[in-house]
Amino acid sequence: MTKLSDEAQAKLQEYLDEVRSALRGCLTVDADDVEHDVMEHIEGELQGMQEPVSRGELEAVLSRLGSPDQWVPEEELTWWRRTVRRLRTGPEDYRLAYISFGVLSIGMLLGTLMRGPASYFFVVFLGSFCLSRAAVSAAGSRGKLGPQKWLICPGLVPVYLYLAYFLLLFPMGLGGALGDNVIWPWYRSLPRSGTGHRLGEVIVNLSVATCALGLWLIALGIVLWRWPKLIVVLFRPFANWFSRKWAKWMMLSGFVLVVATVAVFVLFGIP
Amino acid sequence: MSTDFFENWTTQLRKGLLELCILNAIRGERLYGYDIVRRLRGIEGLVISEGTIYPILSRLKREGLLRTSIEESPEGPPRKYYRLTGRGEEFLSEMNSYWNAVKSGTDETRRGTGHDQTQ
Repeated sequence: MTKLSDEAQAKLQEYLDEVRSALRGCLTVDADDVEHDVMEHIEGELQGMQEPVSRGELEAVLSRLGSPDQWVPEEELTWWRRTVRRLRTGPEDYRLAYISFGVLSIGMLLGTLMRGPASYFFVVFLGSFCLSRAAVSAAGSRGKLGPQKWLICPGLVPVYLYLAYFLLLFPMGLGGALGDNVIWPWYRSLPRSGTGHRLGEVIVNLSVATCALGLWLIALGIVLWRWPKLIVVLFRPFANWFSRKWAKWMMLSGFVLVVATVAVFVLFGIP
Repeated sequence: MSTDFFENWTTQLRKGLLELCILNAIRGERLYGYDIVRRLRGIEGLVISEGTIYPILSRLKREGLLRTSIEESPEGPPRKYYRLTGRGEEFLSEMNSYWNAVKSGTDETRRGTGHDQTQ
């Protein structure tokens, strides 16, 4: 065996570790066979060199052998080795997508098994969401998301659904509370309102909630008509279709809801 | 033609050709791995990473196309020699026939002398 310098010996050991690691998950190859051949190859290349062989001389041989990660085609690896390899060597935007999906799936699994508190799930969702948005931004510079959308979307959808609910429906809750605590007691205090029964309370509360939603949609529509890109940026990459036309529809819907509510108020004789 | 497309194409082409060349290099004799690499490294554009050859040898052995024997070497530690099995010989003949047919058809197409056999 050719004598190597200490540095070259350490480099050789490092390289052989890489070889073993690259071949570990390969179903069609005998890793011991390959390692034996690689050692023979290195020995053959180093023959005749002045001993101890330096790290630089060894690196030249290893460089011609190439990176062990490239020796085995992906289709010959087990699925988990393929995943690990993609994480280690994939393009930056794909790595973010894998990490985002990993954070979400592993986080959810652990949280469910260990019955984690709500704050734990909040952190998992938020972490996965931030990684997914970063992946969307990285992919944006390349022009398209491609197949990685399947890794990114699970991190985005829960947060976007919550955001959409908050943006579109939360005024109903406020309106309902306003109706229950202010409008309905006031209506009952009117001399001609009678005693007020359960149906009347429901109608008043629902009408106030619907009116609040209508007013909110009008306000939101005005803002989005002025700055339509807000929705595009907020819900990227799902809202690229949003334009002023949709903001106008939003205002119109709000207007219809307000008119309908006023009609109900008039019908029930609320001044 | 984009660089990515060309690289992908050469990678695909090399993959099959490398196996054919390895089997042809071993035909009729016994060689150890490093000897095979030395024979093939002279073929322009065929061997990009020399290490690629060793997993292919291992795979061909698992497929039953090659067998190995460890023999003492006067120049150092024992060497692992590869040779074709009977099945490997048969398979190689089929591969060479197939390659000759494809190559001759490709050459004809390039020269513009190819014609539609159905007419």
